[in-house]
Amino acid sequence: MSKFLSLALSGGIFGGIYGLFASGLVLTYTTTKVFNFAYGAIAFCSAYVFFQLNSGLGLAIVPSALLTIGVFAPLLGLLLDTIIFRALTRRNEVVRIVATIGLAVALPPLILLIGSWLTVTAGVDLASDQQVFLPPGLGPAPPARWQIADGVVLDSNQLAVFVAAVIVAAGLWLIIRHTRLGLSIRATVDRTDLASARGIDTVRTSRISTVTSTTIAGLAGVLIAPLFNLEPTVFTFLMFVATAAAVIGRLQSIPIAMAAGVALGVVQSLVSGYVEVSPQLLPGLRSAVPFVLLLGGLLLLGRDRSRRAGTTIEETAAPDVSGDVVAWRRRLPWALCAVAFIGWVFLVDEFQASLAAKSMAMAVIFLSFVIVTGIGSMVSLAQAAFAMSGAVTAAILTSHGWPFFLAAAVGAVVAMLAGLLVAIPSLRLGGLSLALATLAMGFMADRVVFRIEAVTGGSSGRELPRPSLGPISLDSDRAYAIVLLAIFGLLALFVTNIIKSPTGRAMGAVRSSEVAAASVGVSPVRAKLTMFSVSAMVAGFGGALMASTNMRISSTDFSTPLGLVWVAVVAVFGIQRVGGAFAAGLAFVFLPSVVGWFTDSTLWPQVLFGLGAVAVVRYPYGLLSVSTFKRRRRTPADREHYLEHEQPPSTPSPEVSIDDGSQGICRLEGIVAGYGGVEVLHGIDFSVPRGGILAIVGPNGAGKSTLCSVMAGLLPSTAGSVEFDGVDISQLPADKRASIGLVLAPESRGIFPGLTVEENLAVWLSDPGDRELVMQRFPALAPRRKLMANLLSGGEQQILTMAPLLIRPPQLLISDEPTLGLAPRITESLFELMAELRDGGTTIVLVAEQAANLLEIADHIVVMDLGRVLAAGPVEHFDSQIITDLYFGESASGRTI
Amino acid sequence: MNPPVSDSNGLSVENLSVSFGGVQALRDVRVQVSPGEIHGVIGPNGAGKTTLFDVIAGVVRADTGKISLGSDVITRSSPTARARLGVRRTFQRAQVFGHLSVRDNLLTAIEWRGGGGGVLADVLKRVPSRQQLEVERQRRVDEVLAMCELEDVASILAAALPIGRARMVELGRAIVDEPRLLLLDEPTSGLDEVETERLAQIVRMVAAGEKCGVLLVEHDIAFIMSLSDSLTALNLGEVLADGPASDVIASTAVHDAYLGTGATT
Repeated sequence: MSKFLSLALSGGIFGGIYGLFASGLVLTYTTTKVFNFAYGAIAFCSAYVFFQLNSGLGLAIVPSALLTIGVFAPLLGLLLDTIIFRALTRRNEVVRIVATIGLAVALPPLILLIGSWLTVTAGVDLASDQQVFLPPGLGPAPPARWQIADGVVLDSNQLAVFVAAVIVAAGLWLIIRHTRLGLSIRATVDRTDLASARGIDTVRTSRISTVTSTTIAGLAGVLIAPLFNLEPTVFTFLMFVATAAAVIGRLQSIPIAMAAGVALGVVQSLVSGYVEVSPQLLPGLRSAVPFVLLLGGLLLLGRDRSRRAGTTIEETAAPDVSGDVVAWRRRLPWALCAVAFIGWVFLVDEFQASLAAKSMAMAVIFLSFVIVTGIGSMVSLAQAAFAMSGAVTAAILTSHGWPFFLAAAVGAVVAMLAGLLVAIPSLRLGGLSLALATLAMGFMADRVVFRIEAVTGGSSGRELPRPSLGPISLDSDRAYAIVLLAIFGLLALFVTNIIKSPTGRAMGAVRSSEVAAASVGVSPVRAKLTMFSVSAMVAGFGGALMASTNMRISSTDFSTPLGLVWVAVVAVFGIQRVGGAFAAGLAFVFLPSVVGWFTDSTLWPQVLFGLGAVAVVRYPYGLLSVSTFKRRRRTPADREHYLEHEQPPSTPSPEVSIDDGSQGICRLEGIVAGYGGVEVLHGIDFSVPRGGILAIVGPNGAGKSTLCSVMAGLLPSTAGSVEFDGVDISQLPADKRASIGLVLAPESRGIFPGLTVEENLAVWLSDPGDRELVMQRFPALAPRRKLMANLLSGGEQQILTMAPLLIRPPQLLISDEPTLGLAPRITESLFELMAELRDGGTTIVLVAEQAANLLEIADHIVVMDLGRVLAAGPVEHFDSQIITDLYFGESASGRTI
Repeated sequence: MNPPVSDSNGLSVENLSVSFGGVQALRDVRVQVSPGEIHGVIGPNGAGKTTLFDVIAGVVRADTGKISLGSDVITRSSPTARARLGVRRTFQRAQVFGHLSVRDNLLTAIEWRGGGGGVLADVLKRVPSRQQLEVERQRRVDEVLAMCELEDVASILAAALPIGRARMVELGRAIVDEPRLLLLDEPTSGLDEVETERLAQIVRMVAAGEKCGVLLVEHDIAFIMSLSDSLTALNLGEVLADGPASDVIASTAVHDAYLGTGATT
């Protein structure tokens, strides 16, 4: 076999690992919109469990693997879904990223701690994790090996990974494309509201897919355990490499992600086989290839379409930063902290004092997170690389005789330039893409730039002497600690100033709403760029300070994986405020020794930091704000005070009851509902008579669609009740309402644009025979079965909405604006379908703005405006003149403008 | 139909067409708004009102056509650039800057002009070159806060405000920098009658006093009739009628479009 082919083959087989990871990442992301940074950590935990079952407890390979993949991984997935992922989907992107990073930090040491606890306390005879170990593979042991070319060897374990990866990808593809469950998943991803209105339990669906993707991580862990050392960093690193493949699949397509994973393996293998680089010049170039691809993929494909106007979950400021506290009361605690810190530095020994110095240098680095994430709302994962750039630059310059602070300042500028280099192309991409781009850039810097001997000075590193303040030498740790405290204080003051400056206000505006910020002349990109580069600068300066406390910097001091731990640490204490950075600096340096009083294990700090960061799901403002947060939640009196103004006008609604003697099929009583504090419906009462067509008419903004959402269960009402068939269904979710026969066809088209015609039908009609009936009834749809529904014309889409309901008629159909944008001829045929449905016994609620057409088909009319019912009754009581008056406000609305 | 009054300083939209994935949202739409004029846009759901609004504000790109403000052609300008030329807007669902106090919400709308000293001055806070400017800007903000009756909540975070006050913050933010064209997207939704009346007064005041054209999209026809000098009626993406408000509202085409009597094709 030629060298090229054999390299490609072995690389492709290795790429199966990436494919496996990438498939799982895509699956989680499509169904929960959470990019799971902890995916590698989950794989590690599975690998560890597998190893302990096998090597520790002596279970045979196959049962060990089955227990890990079939029991441990799914249970872990279920746990994570319940306590984290479910809540995360309601949080903004920053919280999603930070929380899963926290999980990635906490999980590996946690499982190791559990392992050692089982050994030491519970006396379970586990294998020691102190020694380097390789669990056996699923195949023969020792693995069979094949020499496929000179220097290219394959073994059975690698082959097993590849085969499993292909099977998993094919299996996932089959499940997602060709099963009921897969259809539910895709329908949920496509249009969540419509999916639940069609009877799909969307919560259950996304739970299943989270568990599935965790199980895949479990499988990956078991398969790759024999190939590498059982090291958490290895698994996390593999996952980040696989991220490139997931991004090439646009975080959407599992087959493409899988194929890209394999291709990634091939490229990596070819590069290492063919590209000759001198180890002095660019030693890490080979291992950086995936990150080059990740960055490239993001820039080419990564445009995040989810961040359109009004679709972001708006963050609110931390509840206690409103500035309503007097200035001296805000400053006093920090002044006391500073005094206590200084006093303490003089009391403790020299070693503790050196830790104190380090803690303040770290606090400066953490301040950079407050700027970029706290103020700027961006997650940067390259802060470690910026710190490194600053430190290295300072070290090089001081070795040429520059004074320390000047050298550190230049280092800060170099870090800023590095920041601009990554931020300018990737800022427009949106939060997650920016985080991944900074991650790629961080790894590239780690593996290429900082491995160059001319930069970081090889294995011994570079010296970075401490500064002296005039005659005072800062070689004493006490003095240096105090100087660093002062530097931190000064920088913190600057950061506080920025928040209250025009730049800070512009950034605050951008955080709330980019569109609104642009509408007053603020440039969102410029505001973010400013924050990003200032943050990189502070990180660079802090890096120089931190290195100077050690008086040395070497290539692995600030690595990108360490940067992930940093993110977690700041998030624990509150990434929105400078006080958080101060506390994080102290905790990061001192927690290990504090923990050391209780236990010998060095794993605890990481677990605590990681779990603390996961807690941002509950407390987005960090530990320092927890008490205030709780207090505010208990007594939201100040907020209510302002809400008092918002009483709706209390004009009594001139209600006409529709009561033809029979019991109504659906009864609404006192429905009050709205969105985000805006009350849209101010108390709706009416009853839908059984059989026939009830038309709800009213102008734009009357609240008709809101009412539909409330009836269907998509929007909870804040007051009032919905009764269906004599049963109170107010608490029933939409999918349950659909299954008892109350179905909503939402505004305009009730279709899933990303599913084919056939699949659209299948969501409601699981029996293929029923779908055939549709095709016979609507021959126009038959040739379009395999077409995406968004390619149909407006009229065809409306038929596609109605057709499945004709075959399996609900008891009550609520059809919201079905004629919107349709030509009159199509409107007519649509009404014929409605009439057919009515004749079959279905009660129909028809919502429309244009009333006249409806007068011909409706049996009852409800006229709404501005969130109330203006009039209701049998159609005979209405003619177009009455409705005209109601619409144009001459008689009924009573406005006095 | 009256020929549009061409004014060297007003908004002029010509032959505007926009489509989304094959659906024509706007076809050959024209709109003229002179300084000081209040121009309403009406039409049933799906008529293209919001699309027209978004295209003028720069959030949606036009396929063909030309948008100009006086001598500035803004067809391809970013929303930020348009705002800096004096196109200011409000939103259908109020979007105040929740992180900022009400006062800062308004201040932000002037500060794009720069403060002297750049980021360095931001960091150091007390820079003499800036302080004079700050005083003048605060004075203007105070003026607008008074106009919008927001003095009592000036130092409160805007996120804490009820919808009525939030809409006033949005309006104040849109007028504080003395716009040349004010775009109002359903400004009365969520307002009570007193607030609606207040809003109408301010809009009239801004239009007359500042020589600012106002383009108003609104579903409350009583409100739009009370305020507008002229109207454009849209249906299915096309202009049904335009001209003086009373003529447009009286036209049978408009009644038909709203009520759906007779075929409108």
